[in-house]
Amino acid sequence: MSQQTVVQLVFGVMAALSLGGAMGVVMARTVFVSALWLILSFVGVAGLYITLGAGFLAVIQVLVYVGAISVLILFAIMLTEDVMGDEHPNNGQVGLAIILLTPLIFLLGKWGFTANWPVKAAAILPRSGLSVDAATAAALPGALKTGDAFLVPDSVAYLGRVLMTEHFLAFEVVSVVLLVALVGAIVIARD
Amino acid sequence: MNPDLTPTIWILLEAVVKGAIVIGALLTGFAYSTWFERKVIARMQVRLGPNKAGPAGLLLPAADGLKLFFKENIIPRAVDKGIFFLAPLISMTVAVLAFAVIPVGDPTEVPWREGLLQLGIADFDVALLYLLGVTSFAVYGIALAGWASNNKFALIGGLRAGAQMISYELAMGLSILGVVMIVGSLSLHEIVVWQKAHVWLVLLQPLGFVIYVITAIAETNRAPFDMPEAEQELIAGYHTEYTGMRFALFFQAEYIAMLTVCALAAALFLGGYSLPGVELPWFGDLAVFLGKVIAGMFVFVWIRATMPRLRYDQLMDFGWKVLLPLSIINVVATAVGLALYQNGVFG
Repeated sequence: MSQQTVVQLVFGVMAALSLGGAMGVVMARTVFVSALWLILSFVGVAGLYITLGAGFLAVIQVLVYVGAISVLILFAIMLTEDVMGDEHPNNGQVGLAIILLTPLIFLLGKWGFTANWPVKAAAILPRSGLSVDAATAAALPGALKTGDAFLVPDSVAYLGRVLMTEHFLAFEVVSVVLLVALVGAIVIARD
Repeated sequence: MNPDLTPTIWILLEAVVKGAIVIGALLTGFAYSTWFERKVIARMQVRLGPNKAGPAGLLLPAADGLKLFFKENIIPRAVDKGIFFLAPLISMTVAVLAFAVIPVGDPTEVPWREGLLQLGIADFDVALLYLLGVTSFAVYGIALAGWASNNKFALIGGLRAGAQMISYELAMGLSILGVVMIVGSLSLHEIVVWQKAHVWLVLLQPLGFVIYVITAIAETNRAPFDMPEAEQELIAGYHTEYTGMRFALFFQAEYIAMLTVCALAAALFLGGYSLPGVELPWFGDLAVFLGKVIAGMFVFVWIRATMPRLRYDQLMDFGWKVLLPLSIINVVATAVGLALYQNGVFG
């Protein structure tokens, strides 16, 4: 059992959490319990980010999706649903769903295993503070040149630099979309 | 045994032992926080406070624990059982997890290990965000308890707590941002080391510190922001239906959360485990850290003994219309100040 095995083990647990949570969302009989399963699924995804070495992304995932969005969902349910109301039974379309989804899962799986994924060096970001050679640094847009060596930035600084340079346009467009949503919500609330 | 794994096992073992020590310390800290609170409030109200069980009432927490342990666990018929069990567990787990990244001393040399031993369970480059992320779970313990109890008082208490914690989380995060901008790191240990080398950050971030203290009281649902359990209106709020050890878990979570925000205040603004100009051995670091946490707890109790409870709408107005804009101003001012400083305007 090597360190890689441990990482794979953690990956397995986290993948099971996120998929199991997702199953729970669609199988739960009350919408409130569905929302709780959704939280478990979000936590699993955050765990996956950690196994990929993206701790910052994992924490943001928890802060935004678990800490804010899920709370909003639960509040919406608590304030609208008849508390402890009737359960909503399955609608009897399980068979149809299985028939439709099996080919889809098969195709996705086939594509996922055979596709030629572009692997960037950034996917396995070395520990921050390490110095690397020029070849590795070329693949890391955030690497800082200090003297002869290149210093790997910590993941937060790296992410910030990439967002503000390479993906600047997308970053700004997303913020405009959020602003529009905010203004829209206020307009609806005032009507 | 595979030699490749041996270091991994030792690292895991070390983390487990440190975790056990911290949990033990937190539970003891919780027990004596209740004693401390009763004693200090009694003194402020010109009473004696606990003085029967043991010398100066020191055995009272043990007696309380024993009493709660043997109380009947009542499960009302109409509760949602699964969630009713889950809610106090979430509260307690979250409270303990948050403490994992608090540094209690400089890394120290130890005889049984190569390299330095971290004092504190873990330290990584997003430790501060981890703490905020974990504490954002806390709202679930309370909101779910309120919902699962199937009781109107509990539900209102849970909803209030949820709304309050989300509102004040924003201002709290922004008040900490100033510290992060100055130090340039999200690692709590690095923030403490920076303060050791320069100056306590409370001097550079006075507004941030004040906002942090106010939001910390609100986040832990303590007086004068203890709306979720306003007894005149809501009986006991979200834990109305809880008895015995399950109630004790909520109680523990609240006090451990207080200890955590005090420790965080020390680490972020008050130099953490260090004293200016003095280099201490590890037990000195630990003593300074404990002293700062106890001072923080004293402020908590002091405020509770002094301030009347706010009204709910006042609380929300204050959070959104005063604290949030102020914390945004603080962030902008810090950014401008930093830019000026880095360009040598202040010489």
